[in-house]
Amino acid sequence: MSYAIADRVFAILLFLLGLYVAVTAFGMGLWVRGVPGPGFFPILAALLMTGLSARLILRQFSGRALLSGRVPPRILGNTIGFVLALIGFVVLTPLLGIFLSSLLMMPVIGILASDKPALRRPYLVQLGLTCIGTALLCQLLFGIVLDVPLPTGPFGF
Amino acid sequence: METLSLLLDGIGTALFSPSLLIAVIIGAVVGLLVGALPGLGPSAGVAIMLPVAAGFPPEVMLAMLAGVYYGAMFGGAVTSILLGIPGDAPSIMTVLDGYPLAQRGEAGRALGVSIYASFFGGLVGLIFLTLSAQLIARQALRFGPAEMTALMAMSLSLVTVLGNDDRLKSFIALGLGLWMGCVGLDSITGGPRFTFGMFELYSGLDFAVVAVGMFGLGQMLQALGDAPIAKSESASYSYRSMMPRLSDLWICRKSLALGSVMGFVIGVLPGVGATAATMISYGTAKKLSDKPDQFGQGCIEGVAAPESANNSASYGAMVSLFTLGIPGSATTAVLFAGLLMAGLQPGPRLFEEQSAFVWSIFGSFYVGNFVLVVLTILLTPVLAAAVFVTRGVLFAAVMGVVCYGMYSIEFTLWTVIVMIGAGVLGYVMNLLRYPSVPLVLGLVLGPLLELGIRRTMIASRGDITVFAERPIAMVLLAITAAILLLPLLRQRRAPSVA
Repeated sequence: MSYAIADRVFAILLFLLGLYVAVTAFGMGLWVRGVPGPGFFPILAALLMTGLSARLILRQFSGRALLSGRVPPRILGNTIGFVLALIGFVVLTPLLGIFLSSLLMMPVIGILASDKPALRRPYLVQLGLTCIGTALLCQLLFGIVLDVPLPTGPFGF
Repeated sequence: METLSLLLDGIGTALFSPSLLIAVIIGAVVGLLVGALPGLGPSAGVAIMLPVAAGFPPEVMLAMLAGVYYGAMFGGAVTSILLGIPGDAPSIMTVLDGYPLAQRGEAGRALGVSIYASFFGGLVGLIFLTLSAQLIARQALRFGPAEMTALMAMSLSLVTVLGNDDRLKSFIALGLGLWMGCVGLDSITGGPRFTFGMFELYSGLDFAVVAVGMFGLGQMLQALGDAPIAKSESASYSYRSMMPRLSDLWICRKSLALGSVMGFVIGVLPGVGATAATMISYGTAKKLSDKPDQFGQGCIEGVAAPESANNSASYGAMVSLFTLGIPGSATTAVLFAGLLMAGLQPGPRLFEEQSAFVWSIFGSFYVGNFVLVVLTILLTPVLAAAVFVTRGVLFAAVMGVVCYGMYSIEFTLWTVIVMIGAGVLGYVMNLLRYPSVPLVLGLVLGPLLELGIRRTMIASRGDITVFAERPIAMVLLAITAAILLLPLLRQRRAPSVA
């Protein structure tokens, strides 16, 4: 994806968010019984966002200070995969427990984040051992030393 | 004398409390590794360590987190000198002279000077922090809500103006942060604001969780695009060659003094940071040197100036955090989050109400500064090798620990969800050159600023001239206006001058 397009899309989203905040803040009451109300401060933030995002959008469409280049598709794919692995962890933890979910999440991250060819046997062994070691260490540190009630799965851990 | 006695008590506590000493050592070792590893800066290191440290008592937690911060300042120099690879931004300037020195067989000498310069800069920074902290805190205690409100407004404007070249994006980020700070129950009326009917949002967005996401996860996602580090041969050195030489220290005396003092002063300024301190100190040391032409070609003074500056700056950045409760950088913002998680409100009252805590933390800084000299010398081979650890293995392990830690903060997966959201936002903002520090500071200082404004206005029954009746508040607001308006005026003048 091109940085210039992403920059424009992000600026437009911020502009729209600013508008939403301004409208909502207005409804909350800007000035109540002679003093600033709950909407007073949010509307200042909204004005900052909306006004300056509008100026940024104009600057971008006039061709000034445009970002150049693009995110390589492989990197973008790895980044999305990284985030999806984390979301998968959140979804699976109530079902499988934190130990097994983290054991599934970590290898995916390890493969996606690798700066060297990831699907080689020595690397996969190193990664697997690291993931198991980390999960066990975390169970020990958080579950036993710090006494955190960690979510457990069908196997009781 | 009172300060000295409190400090000695603090150092004694740090030295003779096993848990505090172990926390300092763990923090320092993690900091050294974070400093050496490209892709992870001090703010990411402290953010990643935050959920782990959160389970320990406040002193232990803060000693560990601060250890990561100042440890990173030591660690970056090792790989800069031995491999020509700066581990983090504050050690970039050390490459310029450190690596050429290593290439001509003087790696041990360069490493030695970097370690002692770091120690000296750290010590000077600590002495200034100790002397100024109580003084500023005492003055700040006289501040009422109007003054504190004006001070926060000034800090936010400074961070936004100084932090980034693109001021438009800085202010948009600030606006976003200020809005995010409004999410939750209104502090005066108790009504929900921007909670979208979600019960989890009633208590607002946890600043610590957002900081871990933006600085920890965000930097990791950003690092996925970095090219792999080519395996290179480390320059050879011996432990003996790292021992201090009086002749080198004498040659570097001006650079050491300059770097330490400038580093601290620049570190105090919100939004400037250790990297700028190293650059300015290096440039000034070069200008004032008898042999400026040797800078950049293996001049030992070129190692001493930035290394003393970045360590001193790290303590300078803590002045406003401890004395005014205003973090001026990404890393001190994460430390601020740590203090809040421990149930402590940073600011002048901390010195009154939690004096033993503050001084034992300051004491742990002195101990940590000394411990780091020994640890850096001992761990130099490990740090040089750590650069080549495969990123995938490192990130997998780090994310495992972070997810466990995030869950452990409130025993809910909601914190992990917020962390992921903040991480993605931090990544996008980094990619599109929006600075994340104004956003984070808007999030943390926004609610305090809002509360200050509304309380002041309620107390004065809506009379806005209450700010005009307080001279300090007026001066601070005038400075804020100048900070915000001067760049605009300069921009308008620029074309006519041209």
